[in-house]
Amino acid sequence: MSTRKGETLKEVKKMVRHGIKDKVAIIGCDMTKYGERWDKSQYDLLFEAFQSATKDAGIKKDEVDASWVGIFYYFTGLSGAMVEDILKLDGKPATRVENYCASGMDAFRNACFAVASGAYDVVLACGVEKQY
Amino acid sequence: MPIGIKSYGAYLPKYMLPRELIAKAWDFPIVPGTKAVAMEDEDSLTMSVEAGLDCLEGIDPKTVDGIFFASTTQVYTEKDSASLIATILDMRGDIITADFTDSTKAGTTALTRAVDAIKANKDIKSILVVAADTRKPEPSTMWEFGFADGAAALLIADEENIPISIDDYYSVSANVTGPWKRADKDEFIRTFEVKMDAKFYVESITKVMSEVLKRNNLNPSTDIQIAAYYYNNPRMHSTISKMMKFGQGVAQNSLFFQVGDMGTPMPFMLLIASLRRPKQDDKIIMAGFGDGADAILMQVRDKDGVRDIGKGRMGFVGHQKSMTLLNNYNKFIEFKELLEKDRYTRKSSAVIIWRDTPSVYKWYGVKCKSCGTVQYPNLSRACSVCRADDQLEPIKLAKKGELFTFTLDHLVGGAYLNTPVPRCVIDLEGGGRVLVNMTEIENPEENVKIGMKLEMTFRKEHEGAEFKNYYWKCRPVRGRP
Repeated sequence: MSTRKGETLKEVKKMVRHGIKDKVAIIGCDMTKYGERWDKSQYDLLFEAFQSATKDAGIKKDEVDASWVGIFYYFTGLSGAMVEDILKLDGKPATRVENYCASGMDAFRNACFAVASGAYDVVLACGVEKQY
Repeated sequence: MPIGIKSYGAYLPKYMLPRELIAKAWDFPIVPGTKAVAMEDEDSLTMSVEAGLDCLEGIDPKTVDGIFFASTTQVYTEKDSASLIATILDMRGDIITADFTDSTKAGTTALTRAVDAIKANKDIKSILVVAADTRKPEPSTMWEFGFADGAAALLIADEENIPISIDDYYSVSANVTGPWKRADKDEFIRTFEVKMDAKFYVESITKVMSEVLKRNNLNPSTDIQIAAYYYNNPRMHSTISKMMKFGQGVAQNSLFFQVGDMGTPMPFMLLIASLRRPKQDDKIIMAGFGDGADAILMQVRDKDGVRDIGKGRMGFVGHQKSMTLLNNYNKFIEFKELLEKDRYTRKSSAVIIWRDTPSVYKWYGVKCKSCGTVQYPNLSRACSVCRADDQLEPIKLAKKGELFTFTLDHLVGGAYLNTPVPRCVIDLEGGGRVLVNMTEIENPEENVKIGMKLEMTFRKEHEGAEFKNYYWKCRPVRGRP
């Protein structure tokens, strides 16, 4: 992107025209039960959400090509590998996104771009948080 | 059916401190022998777990109906230790528990209460009585020569063919003016006058033993074959033996020189040490002291049964054989946390402790119904190997294994105590690969080797959130069956 005065806005306008409308679809989604769930760890919650989302999509977990996870607090984990460890998506790329309260949304945004780019067909976007 | 001792177990820490090192440190006259010293990751609770495991070797912990814990060095003044020990030993939830504290006779008192509870309640058939102490001696005092660390456990049961029957007991109470330790102020034990303490001791212990013998019409010189009574001074021990008129070799005397004054578990330890070569129908007297005294009269009913208990566990001898000398007084001071140091405080969580009780305390992993792989910890609902979802079922892990790989950590929690700490990946017998720290290892650079055999031991991990956070560690084999 150019740094010359007056050029920046022009560049941004050009980028907007590269939108991903109609290129990516949500094929399944779900979320965990809300509440004070002392008996469940962050791993259990992630598993629960993932299992019902794949069921909703009517796919098997092996069909997922890559995953993005939004996590902010270190209590929960500091790496994308957490998704791979828990869901056993062996050998599939997993990325953790941290962007304060927008972490989950940003995981979703990056997952969409990955599909739009043509690199993957089916990806997982998820977010999990548990402070104890 | 007779009530008696169904099983016993003991625990002695890895290290023995030669008393001459204490004498050298303070320019004191030399006192002979060695004393058992627990490491900095041990306390009365962890040692009780070890003694409990030893006692319950080959016995299903779910069959035991209660647990009594006895100590003067309980780790909390408000929080039951017995319940935590029961959890770690994987006992049932519908059992009775109690802590007996504040007196070195707490062990024998807990034992007599166990007999009462079994007699009084038809639903209670057996109670595990475990005693442990890690009394911290004030440096450069005479206590430093004596105070030692250890734990002992007796499984009291009401059943046919009990190897040792408990036939009678007798107790006395006395307001002894020393030693004491104020709950709110003292870190160390204090006393007015040791000669006064000795007078109370002699009076109580001779009275309680004489009374129990008298009311059973037993002659101490001819009818008693084993006498295991508390003492904290070898000279005093022989005085009592003479006053009581016990026969030659009846009173067990070598323990103080070998392992020191253990406090609460001492009478149990003396008993266990003296059961090496039991004779049929041997009559035993055991006594504990501390603000009064208890004496318990027992008899060997099945000498082969007693011998079998000894064969199946480490007991006193097995632990003693695997002890090593601590050739450094400063290390002893460090073990006892008598050296002021900044310690890194870690985090802890009540919810996670509760949620992870099966894996962290009870040492359970999971086994995949689909591919059979045993795995730990069970973080996921999916199998780590075949990736099948929801096929994992809980399985009790073995407490033995061999070293798969390791690294040496020089920075552990910033404590710089006993570093480097080997961080080990262990393959357990019967499956499961776990990551734990190693304890009781000297010169880890040379002595930690891939493939070495290891045992799991329950230890203090850290005190995050001002709470005692315990976990399993591994140690080089000491010979637990």
